[in-house]
Amino acid sequence: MGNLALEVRYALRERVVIASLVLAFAMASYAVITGKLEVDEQRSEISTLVRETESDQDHVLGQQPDAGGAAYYVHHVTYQPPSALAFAALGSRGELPWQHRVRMLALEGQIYETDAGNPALSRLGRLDFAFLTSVLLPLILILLLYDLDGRERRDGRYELLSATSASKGSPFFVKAGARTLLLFAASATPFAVMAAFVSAPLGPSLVVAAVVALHLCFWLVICRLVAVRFTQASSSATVLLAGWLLFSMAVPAAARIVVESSVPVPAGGELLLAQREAVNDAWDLPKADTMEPFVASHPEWRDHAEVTQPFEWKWYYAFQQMGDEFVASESAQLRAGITRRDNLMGVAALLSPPLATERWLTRLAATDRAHHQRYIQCVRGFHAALREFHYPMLFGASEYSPEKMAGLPKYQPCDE
Amino acid sequence: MNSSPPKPVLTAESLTVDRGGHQVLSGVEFSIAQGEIFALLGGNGAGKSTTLLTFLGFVTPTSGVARVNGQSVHEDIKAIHKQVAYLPEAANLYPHLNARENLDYFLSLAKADNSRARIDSALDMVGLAASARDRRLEAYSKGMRQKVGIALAILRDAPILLLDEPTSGLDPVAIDEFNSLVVALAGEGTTVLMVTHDVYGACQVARHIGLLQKGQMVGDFRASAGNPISADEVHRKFTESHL
Ligand SMILES: Nc1ncnc2c1ncn2[C@@H]1O[C@H](COP(=O)(O)OP(=O)(O)OP(=O)(O)O)[C@@H](O)[C@H]1O
Ligand SMILES: [Mg+2]
Repeated sequence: MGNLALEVRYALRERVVIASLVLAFAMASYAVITGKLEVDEQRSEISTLVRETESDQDHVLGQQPDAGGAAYYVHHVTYQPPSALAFAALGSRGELPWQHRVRMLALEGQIYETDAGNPALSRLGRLDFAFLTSVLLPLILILLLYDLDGRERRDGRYELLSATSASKGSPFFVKAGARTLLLFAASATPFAVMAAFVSAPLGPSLVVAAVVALHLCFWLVICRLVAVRFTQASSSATVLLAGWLLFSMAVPAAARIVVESSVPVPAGGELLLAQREAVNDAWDLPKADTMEPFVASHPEWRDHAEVTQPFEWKWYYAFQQMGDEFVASESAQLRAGITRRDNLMGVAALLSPPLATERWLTRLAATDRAHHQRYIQCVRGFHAALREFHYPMLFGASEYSPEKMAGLPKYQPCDE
Repeated sequence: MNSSPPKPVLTAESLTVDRGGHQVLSGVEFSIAQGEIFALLGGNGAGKSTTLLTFLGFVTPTSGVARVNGQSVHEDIKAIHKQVAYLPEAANLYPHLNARENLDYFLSLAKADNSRARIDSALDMVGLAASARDRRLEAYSKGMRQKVGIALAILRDAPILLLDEPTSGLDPVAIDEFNSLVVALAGEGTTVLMVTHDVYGACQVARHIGLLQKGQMVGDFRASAGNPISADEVHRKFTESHL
C-alpha cells in the first residue's frame, strides 16, 4: 500500500500520465453531462406528453355521446421513465422507443409501429459513460501501460528499479496499478459527482464504480501479461491493440452475428402488417366470423355478443382484439426471441469484458433489453386494463355515461 | 583484533555466462572479503557489467555460481537485493524529477530512510551543488547525474556496494572525493565490488584488483601490507592482454 501511494504521487509528475488523466476526466465529464441532458430532455418530453394527453383526453371525452366513441377517440400515453442512473448508460433509451401513445385499437401494431423510427432517438453520438468505460478507457490504459517496462529498460533503470524495490511484488506491477487507479479516479469522479447531483441510489452507484474498476483491472492484468512477454514497446503496443480490437470489437460483433443468425426473430414490421391485414379483412367478413371466435376466448361476453346492426362498436373492438390474438404467437415468439438473444449475448459477454461491462452498466441503469421488455409488457397490461374498463359499457353490461370516464385507467410505469 | 581471515562476502565460483548466444563469462573466479574494495578492470565488452548483473540475479549463469554471504544469488534474489546497493553503468535516474525527488522515490521504494536532512547530507558528500538540487535531472550534466546515483547508493546504507563505473563523467576533484568516500565506507565494513576503466584510481582505493578480458580473469592483483597495488604493473598487464 505504501508503495502504491508512492507510485501514485510520482506518476502524477509525468506529463503523459497527466495528459491521459485530463483526457479521461474531460471525456467522462462530457459523457455524464450529455447523458444527463439527454435524460432531462426525455423526462421533460414525457411530462409534456402526459400533460398534453391529459388535456386532450378532457377535451375529447366531453364530446362523446357513446361508449364506442369514448373508447375510440381517446389517446393514452405510456412511457418508461429514465432511472436515476440512466445518464450513465443510455442503452435502450438511445435505440428503442421508451414511449408509445396507444389507443383502444389492436395493440401489437401500435407497439411495433414506432420501431421504425422514434423522433427522440440517437440524438447524441452515444459517447455515454458506459461506452467510454467499456471501450475507450481501456485504450487510454493501454497508452499508459504498454511501454512501462520498455521505457525503463531503454533508459537503463529496469535493473536499478527491480534491485531497489524492497517489496515482494514487481515494482512494475505497482507502477501499473497506480496508473490504473489514477485513471479510475479520473473517470469515476465525474460519474460520482453526477450521481450525487441527481441523488442516484448509493448502492447501484457503487456497483457501477466497482464494475468500471473491475474492467480496468482486467486490462491491467492483460497489459502486465503482455509487458512481461513482449519487451519491445512496438510489439507490446501491437499486441495490446490487437487484444483491444478483439475484446471490444471482434468478439461482440461476431457474437451478434452468431446469435442473430442462430435465433431467428420475427420482424416487428411483419407483425404489424399481419395484424393490419387481419383487422382490415374483418370488415368484409360476416360478423359471426369475428364474434364466434371472440366469445370462444372471452366467454364472459357470450350473452352480450349478438350483433344486429351493420356497424356496432362491440364488433369493432372485438375484431381489434382478435387482431391482437391473430398475431399473439408471433408476438410471443418475438418476445422470446429477443430474450433468448439477449441471454446469449450475456453468455458471449463472458468472452468480452468490454461487452460485459456495457451490459452491467445498462442493467444497473435499467436501460438494458430486459427492462425494455418489461416496459412493453407494462404497456400490454395497461391496454388490457383499458379493455377491462371499456368492455362492460361497449357490450352493454353497464350503462355508458360521460361521468364514468373519470375512472378511465391512467398509465403508471411498472418498475423502478 | 581478530586474526582469522575475514569471511568472503561476494564469491564468483567458475562463473560461466551466455548472453545472446555468446559466452561472455568463462569460469570467472574471485572472492571479496567483508570491508574489502575489489576493482574489476577490463576493456569494453570484457564482461564487467555482466558480472555485476549476475550478482544481482538479473543474468543467470549457465554454470558456476555467484554467492552473497555464502548463499547462491538465485536462491532468493529479493533477499540479495536487500543487502546490495547497485549503481548502474549509466546512472539514469528520472530526468523529469529533481535530485531530491529522485532520491526520495528510490529510497521509499527501498523502504529506507528518506528524510530530507539525510538526502541533503548525502548530496553534500558527493558534492552536488545546493543550487542544483531542485532542478530536474534533464538539466544536469553527466557528472551531476552520476553524483546523484552515487548518493543513492550510499543512502541505501547497504552492507554491499555494486558500482558500475562510478567515476565516469566525474571531474578530478569529484573523483578524489568519491575515492575517499569509498575508502571510508570500506573502513566501516562495507564490501565494494567496483567496475572501472580508471587503472590509477582503482589502484588508489582497491586492495584487490581483477583484470577481465573477453570473459576470462587474466589478472589478479593484491596489495601487500603497506604497499598499494602498482598501477604500472596493472597497466602493463592490461595492455599486454589486449595485444
Ligand atoms: N543484453 C545483452 N544481450 C546480449 N549480449 C549482451 C547484452 N549485454 C551485453 N552483452 C554482451 O556481453 C558481453 C559483455 O558485455 P558487458 O556489458 O558485460 O561488458 P563490459 O565489460 O561492461 O563493457 P563496457 O566496458 O563497455 O561497459 C559483450 O560482448 C556484449 O556484447
Ligand atoms: Mg559495462
